Amino acid sequence: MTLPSSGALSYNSIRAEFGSPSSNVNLSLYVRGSQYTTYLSSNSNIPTSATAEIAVNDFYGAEGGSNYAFGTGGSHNTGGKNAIQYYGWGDATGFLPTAQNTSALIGSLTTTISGFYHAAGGVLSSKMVVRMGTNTNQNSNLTSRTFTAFNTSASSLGSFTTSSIAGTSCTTGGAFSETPNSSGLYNQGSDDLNQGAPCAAGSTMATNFPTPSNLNQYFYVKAF
Amino acid sequence: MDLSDFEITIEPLNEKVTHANPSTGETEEAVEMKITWKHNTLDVSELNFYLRENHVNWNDKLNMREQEILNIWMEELGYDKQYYKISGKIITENGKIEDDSQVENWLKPNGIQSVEPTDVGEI
Repeated sequence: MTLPSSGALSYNSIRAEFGSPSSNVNLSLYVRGSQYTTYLSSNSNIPTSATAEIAVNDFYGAEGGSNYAFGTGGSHNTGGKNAIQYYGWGDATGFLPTAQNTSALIGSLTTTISGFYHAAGGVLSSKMVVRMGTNTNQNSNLTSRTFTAFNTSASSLGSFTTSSIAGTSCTTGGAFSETPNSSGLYNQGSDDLNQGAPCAAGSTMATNFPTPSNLNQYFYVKAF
Repeated sequence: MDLSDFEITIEPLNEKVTHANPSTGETEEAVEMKITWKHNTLDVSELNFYLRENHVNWNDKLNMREQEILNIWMEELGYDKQYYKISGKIITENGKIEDDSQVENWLKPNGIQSVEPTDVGEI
C-alpha cells in the first residue's frame, strides 16, 4: 500500500502517488480502472465510474498500478488444420489485444511484461508465454517464480510457476537452453524441454495455467 | 521528423505530500515534483506531469508520460496518428520501408540475418 491508511490525506498526496498530467487535482482522473488507478484489491473503495460519488477517504491505502502489468485480454483461434488457441494479451504477432500497462515488478526486479498469454493446439503443447524486459535473462527473480492473474474484482483467475532452472544460466539445452531468453521471452514449452538437460537434474517442473480461457477478460498480473 | 530537441525540467513544489513506506507502513512525507517538457525549436505545447520525489516507479511513469507527450506533439504538428507513429523520438510513417533488411525479414522471417545457424547435436 502506498498511500497512508489513516490520518490526513491531501489531494496533492493522491496526485503525487498516482501521477497527473494536470495541475488541477481532479479525482475523476483516478476512478478505478483508469489509466492511473487499476483494479487492485487495495483500490476496492475507489468507485469505477466518473459520475459516482468519490471522496478523498476512498484513497486510504490505495496503490498505483505500476508494479502490475494489466490489460483486457482476448482470444484468438488461428483456424485451419492445426489451429492454435490463444488467450490473454500482448502476443508478438498481434492476434491478441495489447496491454494497457507494461511496467511490472517480478520478485524484486523492475522490468516490463508486455505479453501474458496461453497458447494451445496445433503442433504446440499447451503452454504459457510471458514477454518481458531483457533484464529477465539469467535473472534469479525468474526462478520458480509464480505469476498470478487477477480480475476486476481482485479474484485470482489462476497462477503458473516457472521451473527451478528458469532464469538460470543453464546452457546445455541448445537452442532452448535459456528461458527467459536474451530477448526476455519466457516460454513454458522451452522451460519443459530444459528438464531433460544435464543441469536440470533434480529440478522442479513449471506448472501450467489451470484455466486458460479465464484470460479472455481484463486481468492484471502479480509476480512479487 | 525528429522531436528529440526538448528539455525536461523538474521543479519541487512547496507543499509536502504523504505516502506509506512499503516496508513499514509508516506514513512518510515527501516533496511533490512538477516535471515539464518544453520543445526548444517547435511551436508545440509545454506539458507537465506531477509525481512525488523518489517514487518507486518514477522512471516508468515519466517514460509513459513522455510517450504520451510525443504523441500529443505529433498531432499538434498536423500528423494523423492513423498514418504516423512515434518510433524512438522520431515521427515515422506507418509501414514505410526504411531499409532492405525489412523486406528480407518479411520474405524469410527466420533467415540467417535473424537466426544464427547452430551445430547439429548428437543424440
